[in-house]
Amino acid sequence: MNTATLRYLLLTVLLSALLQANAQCTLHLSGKVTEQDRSLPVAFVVLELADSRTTCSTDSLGQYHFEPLCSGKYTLTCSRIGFVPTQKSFYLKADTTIDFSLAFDPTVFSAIEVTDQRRQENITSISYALDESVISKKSGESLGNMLSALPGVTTLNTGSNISKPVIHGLHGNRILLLNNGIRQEGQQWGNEHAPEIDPFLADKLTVIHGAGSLRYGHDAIAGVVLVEPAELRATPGISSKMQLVGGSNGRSGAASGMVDIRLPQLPRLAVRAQGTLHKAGNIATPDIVLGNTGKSEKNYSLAANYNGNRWIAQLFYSQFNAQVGIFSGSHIGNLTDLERAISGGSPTANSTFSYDIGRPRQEMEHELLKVKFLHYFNRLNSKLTMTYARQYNLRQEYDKHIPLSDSLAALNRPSLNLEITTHSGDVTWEWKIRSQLRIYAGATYMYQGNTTEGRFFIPNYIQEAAGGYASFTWQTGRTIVEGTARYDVRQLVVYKYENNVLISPTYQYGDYAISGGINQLITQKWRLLMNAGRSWRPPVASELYSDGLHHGSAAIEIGDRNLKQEISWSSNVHFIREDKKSKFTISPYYMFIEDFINLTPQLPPTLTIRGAFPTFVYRQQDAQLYGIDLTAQAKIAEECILTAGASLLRATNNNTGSWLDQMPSDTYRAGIAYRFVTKRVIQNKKIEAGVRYVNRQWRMNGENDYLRSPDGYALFNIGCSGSLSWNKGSVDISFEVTNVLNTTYRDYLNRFRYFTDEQGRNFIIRIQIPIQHNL
Amino acid sequence: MLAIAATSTIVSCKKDDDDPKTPPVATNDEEVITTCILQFTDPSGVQPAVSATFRDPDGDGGNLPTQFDTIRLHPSTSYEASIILLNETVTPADSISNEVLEEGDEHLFCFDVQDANVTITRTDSDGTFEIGLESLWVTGVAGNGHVTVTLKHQPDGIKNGTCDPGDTDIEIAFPIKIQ
Repeated sequence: MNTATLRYLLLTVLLSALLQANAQCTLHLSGKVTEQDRSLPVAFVVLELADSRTTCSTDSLGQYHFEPLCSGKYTLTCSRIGFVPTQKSFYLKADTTIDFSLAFDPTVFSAIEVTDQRRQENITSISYALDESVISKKSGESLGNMLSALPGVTTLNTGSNISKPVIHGLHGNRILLLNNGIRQEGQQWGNEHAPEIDPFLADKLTVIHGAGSLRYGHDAIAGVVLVEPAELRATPGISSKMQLVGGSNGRSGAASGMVDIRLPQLPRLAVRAQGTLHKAGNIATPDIVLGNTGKSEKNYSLAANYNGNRWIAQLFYSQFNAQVGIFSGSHIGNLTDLERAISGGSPTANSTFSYDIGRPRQEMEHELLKVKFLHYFNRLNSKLTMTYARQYNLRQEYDKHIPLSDSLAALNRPSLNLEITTHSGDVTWEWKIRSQLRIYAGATYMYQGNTTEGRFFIPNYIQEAAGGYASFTWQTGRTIVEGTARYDVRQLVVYKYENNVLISPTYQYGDYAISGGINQLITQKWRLLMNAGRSWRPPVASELYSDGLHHGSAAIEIGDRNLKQEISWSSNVHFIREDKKSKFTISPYYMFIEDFINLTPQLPPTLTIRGAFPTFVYRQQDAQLYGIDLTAQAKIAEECILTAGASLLRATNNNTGSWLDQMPSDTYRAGIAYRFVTKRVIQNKKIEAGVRYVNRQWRMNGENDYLRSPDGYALFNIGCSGSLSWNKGSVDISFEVTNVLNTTYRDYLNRFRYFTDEQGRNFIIRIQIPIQHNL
Repeated sequence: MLAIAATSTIVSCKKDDDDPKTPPVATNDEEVITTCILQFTDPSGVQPAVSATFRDPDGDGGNLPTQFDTIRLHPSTSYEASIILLNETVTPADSISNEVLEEGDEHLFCFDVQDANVTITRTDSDGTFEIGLESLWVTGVAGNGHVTVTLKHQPDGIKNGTCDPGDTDIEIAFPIKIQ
C-alpha cells in the first residue's frame, strides 16, 4: 500500500470517528403530491422545510419522504414550476403524512416545459432511475458502470475504461441512448465502442425496460437509457457546482464544474456552461499494473433556454473528447499469440505506473448541437415541440502495430478512422383532450453519413430514417392505460469498391411497432404495471458488411448482405409493494426475437498469412430471453436501511436449443445504509456497505470460446459521506473503497478476461461544492 | 444573445471532409503482406532450385489464398533458403522483406518442424541476433511433414534471439515433402 492510499484510509477512519449518533430526531414526514384536476402523481416537486433548510423531491409516483426529523414546528413549502406553490404549517410530534394537490398556474403555463422532460411520460413502462444524489456518489465512473447499479443492467467491458450498458443481455443497437433527449448516434456496433457521453453531465439516469419505450424509437428492443442533465435555473440567480474526484487505483483525477445563470434584468433567459477534465493512468489488478490502460477526457457543454409568452426555445451544445489506452497485451497478431497470452506468457503483462497512453488506443470526439422549440396552444390544450439535432462522431483507432515502412510510420495515421455525421429532426404534438385523456402524435426524420478510412471495418454509407407515431394515456381512478403505435422506414445505401468497381447497393426496411400497458393500483400497498409490445430493428452496416479480422478478438467476422430485420415480441410485469417501512419490486419479463441477428461460429477456420482464425458469421435465428429482476428495501430501524436485489436471465437460441453466448450471469446485490440523525457540524452523515455477487456463467454455448467462463465472484464496497454546511453553502464529501478485499476476479462480460484480472482495490474521495446565489 | 450563441456554435461545428459516396478505392490497410515465397538453392549445384509460395492477394479474410505450395526438397541435401515477402495489393509489388531487413533488430523468423527430417539454421544477423531471412535447410531421409514459418515482430528492444517475445506477423504451416 503506498502513502496515498494510506492517507485515504486514515481520512476514512477519521471521518467515521466523527460520525457519531446522538439526539432522538427520528420522526418521519412523508406524503404524496398530485395534480389537482386529475390526481395524477407529480414528480420532481421540491418540498422545502423552511425552518430546517432541508429539501427533498417527489419520485415518479409523486411520493416524497424526508430524512428523520426532530419534533417541532415546521413550515413545508411545495413547489414546482407551472404549479401554484402551496404551504402548510404544522407541529411535528409523531410520524406524519401530508399530501398536496397542486393547481396549475395559468400565468406560467409555458414555463412547465422547463421541467417537462422530467414528467414521467411512460407511466406504464418499467423504469428504474438513479437520481442526482446517487449519481454524485458514483461520479468519476463510466456511464455504463453507473447504470449497472440498476436492476437488469450489466456492462460489456473492454478492460476498465470501455464499458457499454447491457439491458437484459442486449446491447449496442438494441439499446437506445437518449442524451439530453437526442438519440446518441455514435459508433455503437463494436463491443469495444462505449457511448461517447460525459457522465458528469447527467443529473438523472433512467433505464426503461422493454416495450414501454416506443415513443423514443422502434429499434430499442431491449430498452432505453435516458441521460438527463439538470434543469436550468427557473428563478433569477447564479448557481454553480464543482465536483472533484480522486481515485488511488490509476491515480485518477476528475474535475467537473457547472455554472447556471438567470439574470433579473433578463428573466426570460437562462444559460449554463459545464465542463469536465478527467485523467487516469495505468490501473492495477491486485497483483500487477496493466500497461497502457490510462485515459484522458475533456468535455464541455453549453445550454440556453429562452421563455417566450407561450413558447420556449432551447439550445444545447456539447463536445466529448477522449483518449483511451487499450491494454497492450490484448492486441494480438494471431491465434498462437492469443493462446500464449491466455496461458499467461505475455511478456508485456506487468508494467509500471504511467499516465502515458501509447498504442493501441482509441481517440473519440462527439459533438452534439440541439435546438428545440416549443409552443403552447392553451385554447387547444395542446403543445407543439420541434427539435433539430446535429451530431458528429469521430473515432480513430491506433493499432499496436506500426507500419514497417518508415515513411508510413512517420505519418502516424490511425489504423481505422470512422466519421459519422447525423442530422435529425422531430415534431411532437401533445393534446390534452379531457382530464383523463392525453394524445401524443409525432414524426421523426434522420439523415446519416458515414465515412471510413484505414483497414476495412464497415463501408461508407448514407442512411435515412423516417417514422411517425401516435400514443395515448388514459387515466381513471386507480388505473392508467397507455398505448403507442408507430411505423418507421429506413433506407441504407452502401458505397464500396469491389474488384475496383464502385457499388452502391440500397437496402430498404419498413415495419410497424406497437405497445400497450397498464398501471393499476390494487390496494394502498400494491401496484401492478404491465406492458407488452412488438418492435423491430433493421440490420446495421456492420452486420451486413463486416469482413475481416477483428483485432483483439483474434477472430474473423463476416457479415451477411441478405439479413432482414429482427422482430421482437416482449412483455414485462412489475409488481410494487410499498409501505412506510419497506418496498419490494418483482419484475419478470419475457422476450421472443424472431430472426435475432447473432454472430455464430463457422467452420472451417479461415486461413490467412498469419495462420488460421476462428470465423464467425452473422446469422438470423429465433431467440428467447426471459428472466426476473427483484429489488427489496426495508427499514429495519429508524436510521438503518437494508437493500437487496437480484437479476436473473436465461437466453436461448430457439433453432438449436443452445444457450446464447455473451449473456450476463445471475447477479445478486445486498447493501446496508446507516444514517446518523444529528444536526451537528456534519450533516447527512451516512455509512454504506454493499456486496455484489456475480455467479459463474455456465449457461453458454461456448463451443468456440478459447477459455472457460470465469468463476463467480463477490465484491465488497464501503463508503461514508457527509456534508459540511454554513450560512451560504455546503460541501459534500464522500469516501468510498471499491473491491475492499482486493479480490482477484475476472468477469465473463469483459473481453479482457482472456488476458488480465479486473481492477483491484480503489480508494475514492469525492468532493462536491454547490453554490447558490439568488439575484 | 441567443442568436450570437447559436451562430458561434454552429460555426465551430466539426465536419467530416469526406463524402460517403466516394469511398477510398482500395482498403487502405497501411501495409498488407499478401505473399511469402521461400526460395531454395543447392550451392553445390547438384539439385535444381525450388520455391514454395503462399499467396493471399486480398489479405486477411475475404477470398481464400490463391496459392499455397508444398515445399518439395531432395533428401540428404543442404539448401540455402531465402524468404521474400511481398505486398501485391500495390503495383509494382512492394517488397516487405526489405523492410524486415532494414528493421532486422525488431524481427525474427522462426521455423518449427513437425515430422519431416530437416534441420533449419538461420544464417543471417542483425548484428546481435539472427533474423532468418536467410537460412540453411539440411534434409535427411525421405518423408512428409510440416514446417511452420513464423515472423515475430519484436520492437522496443524486446528481441532476445528467442521466438517468445512480440507479436506474430506471419504464421504459415507449409507442408513439406522430402522425396
